[in-house]
Amino acid sequence: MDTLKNSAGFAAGIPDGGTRVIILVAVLFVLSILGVLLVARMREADEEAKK
Amino acid sequence: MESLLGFLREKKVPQHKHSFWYLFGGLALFFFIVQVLTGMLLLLYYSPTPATAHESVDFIMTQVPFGWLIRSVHSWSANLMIASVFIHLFSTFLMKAYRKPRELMWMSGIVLLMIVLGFGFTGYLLPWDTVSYFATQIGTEIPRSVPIVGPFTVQLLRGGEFVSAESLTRLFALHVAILPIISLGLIGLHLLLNQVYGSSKPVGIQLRSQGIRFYPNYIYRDFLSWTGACAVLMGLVLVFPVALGPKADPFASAPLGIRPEWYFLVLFQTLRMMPSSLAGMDGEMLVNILVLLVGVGLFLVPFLDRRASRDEPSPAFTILGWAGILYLIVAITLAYLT
Repeated sequence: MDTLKNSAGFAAGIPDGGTRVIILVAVLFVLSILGVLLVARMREADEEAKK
Repeated sequence: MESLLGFLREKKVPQHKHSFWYLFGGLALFFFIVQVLTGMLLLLYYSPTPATAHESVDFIMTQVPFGWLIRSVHSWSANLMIASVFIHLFSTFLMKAYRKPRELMWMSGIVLLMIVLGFGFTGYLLPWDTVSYFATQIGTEIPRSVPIVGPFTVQLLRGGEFVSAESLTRLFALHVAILPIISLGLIGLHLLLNQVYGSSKPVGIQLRSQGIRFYPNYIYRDFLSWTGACAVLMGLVLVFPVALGPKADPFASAPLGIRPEWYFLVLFQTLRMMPSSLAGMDGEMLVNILVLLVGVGLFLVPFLDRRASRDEPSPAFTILGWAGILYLIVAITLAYLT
């Protein structure tokens, strides 16, 4: 297995650590927005259920 | 559709201090869905013959856009699916959720655990690289010492005396057709029973409330855990992407220090610790018999734990559950350290 410390080209096809970090940040950004939206909807549904 | 939603709105999920563990069944399902989707994408390019398997995986890694990512997601998601299934198994066991009327749900879950391990085993050889080849050679040898059915099982898995083209074809067929069909039916049954009987409340636990509605309240919690799981999965995939080893050479000697995947390390370490002969019996055969007994015992737990079936605490089974977890951790750690 490669890690972020390894240089590019360790395993054919796998991009270098920098590119992977950029992808990871983008993915985590999208997922965190989705998470916030889900928490908001969940609280809304919980409030509605209490009524 | 409206009647289904109505049913799901009526269904309640118990809320108590251990409710968190209910999420792992859903997480196992999430990783299974990821496996199906990424597996279908890999199938578009994968070619299951010894001459082309490694080349096709190499092609996926180097030529197919984001092929390396899809393969890494498939591999890491498999590990996380198996980990989720194990956590789901132990949490269900310790909460005694197998007790009446959920016996069939537990039994279908045990078969699903076997199938999930089968997915891991059958998928391991497919890249046809050195480690996967020799690990499969060792792995398929293990059942040989089982009385009566052992040699037949080895022959059935390998399609011959050694791991070869026939073995690859058979394991591929199991991995992409036979096991998925069986698992889809069993997952359907498991989920249907879950909807019919609902989640079990542990014996002697105080409920926080009457429970929350499955739809939409619990579904949001499930989706939230799936979002977290997706973040963990992508973190692992991008920090530790899965590389492809050199192509297998069946005529070369096995590399040193070859180890199976972590979920087979318990079996691997038990075999290592077992003396070659004990009380006049072959050590490997003893381990196989022990594994068989544990499997049958787990399958029949709802009928063995009579106290839980009467809604009474059953400390003996709680101790057994914790002993199982401890053995799992110790055996895996020892296998890595030694």
